[in-house]
Amino acid sequence: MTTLPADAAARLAPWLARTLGGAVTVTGLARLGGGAIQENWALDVEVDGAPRAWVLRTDGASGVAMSWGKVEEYRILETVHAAGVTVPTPVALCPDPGVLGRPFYVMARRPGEARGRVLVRDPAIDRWGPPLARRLAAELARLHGLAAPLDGLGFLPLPDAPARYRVAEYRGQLAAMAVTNPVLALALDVLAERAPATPRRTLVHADFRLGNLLVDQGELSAVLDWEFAGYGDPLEDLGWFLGRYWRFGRWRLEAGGLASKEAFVEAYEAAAATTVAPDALLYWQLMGTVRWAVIALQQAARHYVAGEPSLELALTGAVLPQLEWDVLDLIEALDGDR
Amino acid sequence: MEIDDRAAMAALLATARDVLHRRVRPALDGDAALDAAMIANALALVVRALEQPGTAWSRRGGARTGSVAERVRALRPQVAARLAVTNPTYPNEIADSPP
Repeated sequence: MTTLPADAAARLAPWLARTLGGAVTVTGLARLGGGAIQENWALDVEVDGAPRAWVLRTDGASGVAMSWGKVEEYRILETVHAAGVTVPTPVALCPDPGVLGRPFYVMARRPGEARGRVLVRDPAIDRWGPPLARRLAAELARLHGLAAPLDGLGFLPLPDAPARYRVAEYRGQLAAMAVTNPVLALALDVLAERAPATPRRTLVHADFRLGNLLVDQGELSAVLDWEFAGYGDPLEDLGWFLGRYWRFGRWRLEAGGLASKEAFVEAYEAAAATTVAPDALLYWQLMGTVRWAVIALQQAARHYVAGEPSLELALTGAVLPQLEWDVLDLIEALDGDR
Repeated sequence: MEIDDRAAMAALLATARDVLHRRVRPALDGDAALDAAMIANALALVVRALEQPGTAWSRRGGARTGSVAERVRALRPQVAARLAVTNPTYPNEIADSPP
């Protein structure tokens, strides 16, 4: 399903010319793969005769409850880019739905591969995986240097207690879908009872994992997909990244199938000049797996309830028992940690 | 074969999946090959669901009392039954891997 009008290229050229100044010719506009929630388009243009390779990003036909719209996502992208996080350079934002039917933004196109299942099949991954994991830890440390609140991001909620905030959020989303799931109910009981304090609230990416990281020949090219970013506990990003699902079959390497948890956390602690409490990290691993389960349910609901027929969305719902199994493992680990 | 024969329906789907997997998918590439793989996956899932009905939480409920450890122990076999439909090899795949 595409949301761009057939004459999108013709509509874009004058808007880009007005926004950027200069003569603009659109030489290519092609849908990029990936993204069940967002749409990314390879946008090739000439500005005053000079070629530019960009990406146009807009919302898909429907999203999930937790994701930001394009205007907010662009503001976040500008903020992290200015802070030196490795992201595509933001080019322009169009909040006006009159141009392409919905808001969109344009950013630089970076080289690399984002698909986790493709990356982990690289025969050289054992060589570049561990250093990439260290680089990703340092990247998170840089992001988490952005303490809340930040100028220009006033639309982000600033929870007093991020863990309790997340528990309430996920309980509310399950209730909204009228979902009965005793594993997730138990997990949320445990998470509510054992919520750790968050000494320092920062900007968090909230979907930091292979799949949203552009990797070029073993090197980080860009951190993508900021639609879930918000203020929270920095350990939320670490816990999410360490989730079993994001290891893509390299189960023993907790850090995204790239490296061990110990090596990743050690690199993060060094880069962030902090100490990560093991029980708090385990807590946020459980929170991350619960969150992915809630998102999987939302994705499946788009197919089964919201009238958006999609085999990919329907099959996303089928990962739920796998996540439930992981949730039980994490509860046992957390329970044994007491 | 009766049309409401669950085992026969599962066998029919399994045969369709086998044809898709052995004959159709190898002839495809790119997005079409990925689509064929997803269809084969969906058919396999439906075959197992027909063979092992009643794993949905709405039909099974869950343990609501006891300690956390007791509740986990009570839920584990029910999740295993659900996994037997969606991803039967998963528990063995991840055995001994850190959570």
